Amino acid sequence: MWIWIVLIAIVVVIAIALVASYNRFVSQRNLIRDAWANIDTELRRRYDLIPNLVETVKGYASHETGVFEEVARTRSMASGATGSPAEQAAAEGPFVAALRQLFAVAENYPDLKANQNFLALQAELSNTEDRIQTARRFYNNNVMDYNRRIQSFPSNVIAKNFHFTEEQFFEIPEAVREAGPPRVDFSTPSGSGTPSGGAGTTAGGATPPASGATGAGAPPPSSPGGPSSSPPN
Amino acid sequence: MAARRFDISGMWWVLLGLALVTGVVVLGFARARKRTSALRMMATQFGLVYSPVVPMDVRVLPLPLLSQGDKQRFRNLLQGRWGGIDLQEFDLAIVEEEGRSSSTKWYSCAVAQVPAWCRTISIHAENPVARAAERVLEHHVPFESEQFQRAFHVDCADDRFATAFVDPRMMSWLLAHGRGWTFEVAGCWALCYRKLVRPEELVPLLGTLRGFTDHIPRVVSELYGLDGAR
Repeated sequence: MWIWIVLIAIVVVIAIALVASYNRFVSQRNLIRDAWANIDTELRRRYDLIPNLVETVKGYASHETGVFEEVARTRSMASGATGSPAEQAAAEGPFVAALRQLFAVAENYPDLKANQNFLALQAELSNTEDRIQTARRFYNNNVMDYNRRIQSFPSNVIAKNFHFTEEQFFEIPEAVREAGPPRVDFSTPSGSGTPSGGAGTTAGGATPPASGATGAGAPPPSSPGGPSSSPPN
Repeated sequence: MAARRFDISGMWWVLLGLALVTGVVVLGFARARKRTSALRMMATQFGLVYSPVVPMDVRVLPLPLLSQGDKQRFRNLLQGRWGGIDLQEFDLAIVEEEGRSSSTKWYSCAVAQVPAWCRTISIHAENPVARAAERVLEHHVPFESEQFQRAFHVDCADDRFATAFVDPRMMSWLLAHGRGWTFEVAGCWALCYRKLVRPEELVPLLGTLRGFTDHIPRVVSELYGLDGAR
């Protein structure tokens, strides 16, 4: 009799664990979808800023048509990408490169760098980049946690049986990462100033370290979901 | 005769007990006075203001530690501008009562305002056993740094906020300077604390609080505002 009670208790415990594990997979997957939607919202916010930025630069550098066309083309490609995180990231690469070109143009026009509208757009773009970076980290951290559960025992049994598959990280392409984010320096009045920190934009690169803070300066920790990592196979 | 000897012996025990209690009281009083005078000296040295009493507006800050336990006792407030920030430092006793017995834990706390409106978040040293259990059974806030997750535990009801708050730069700073300290943030207040430290050890406490507030990412105020309106 006791043996049966113990066996039934074990079966009940296992059943509860299975249900809890399944439900956690579902809530994690929904969280990842929500996080991806949040990234999309922030990216749209950035795409919406670009036409105004281009118009402002055009007012000072109207002959740089090649740069403007490239920004418009790549923006259209990036905003039109509706596929997977990998596709979106691939479309972001040329767009960020074109933006970098646009800011390089701005470097050569001191009057443009002093333009209040341009400064406001630049600040807004910088804030948006921070928001994208945060949304991307949230998404990648949750993907990392979800994929870890899919790979590890005993949750992989549930994942296999209920077809929970690994999600993709949202990572920017290697070339864009190596080139660094587009930046413009407003600290020097001359147009030949070296590009430097401040209000740079990035499609998901690491947060630049701020100066003057106590204990700052240590390198950021390695980031499995961040720019220096690759998704698990 | 035997009864009389017993009486004398009993009286000696009573006297010894009284002397012991008096000694403990006097020693405790002397230690408290010594701490008070050292804190006064610290206050003068660093341009802070000392007060033996902690005002009500500090006691009712929305930080979880300040409402822990069955009773809280506050004393020895140092306040003013230090290292470029306005802060308050005080001793806090958390009293836990169980039936007729009670236990008291003393902490040294430092609070400062932060330029963002924050969800309630607590960052403290990770317990490996609790971490293993949590990974299997409960929800936790995932972070990209395994090293950080091994060293610290982050409690926050809002994962998105926790991710924004603890960015790679904050993680890096916590790993380098935050070990041994507990941090709490709620509303526009940040608290840094550890078990009661000697007056000469208060500078690391204040420095750690300043470092912590310096490393709060700008994006937190961008996403969550400055005044709780969002």
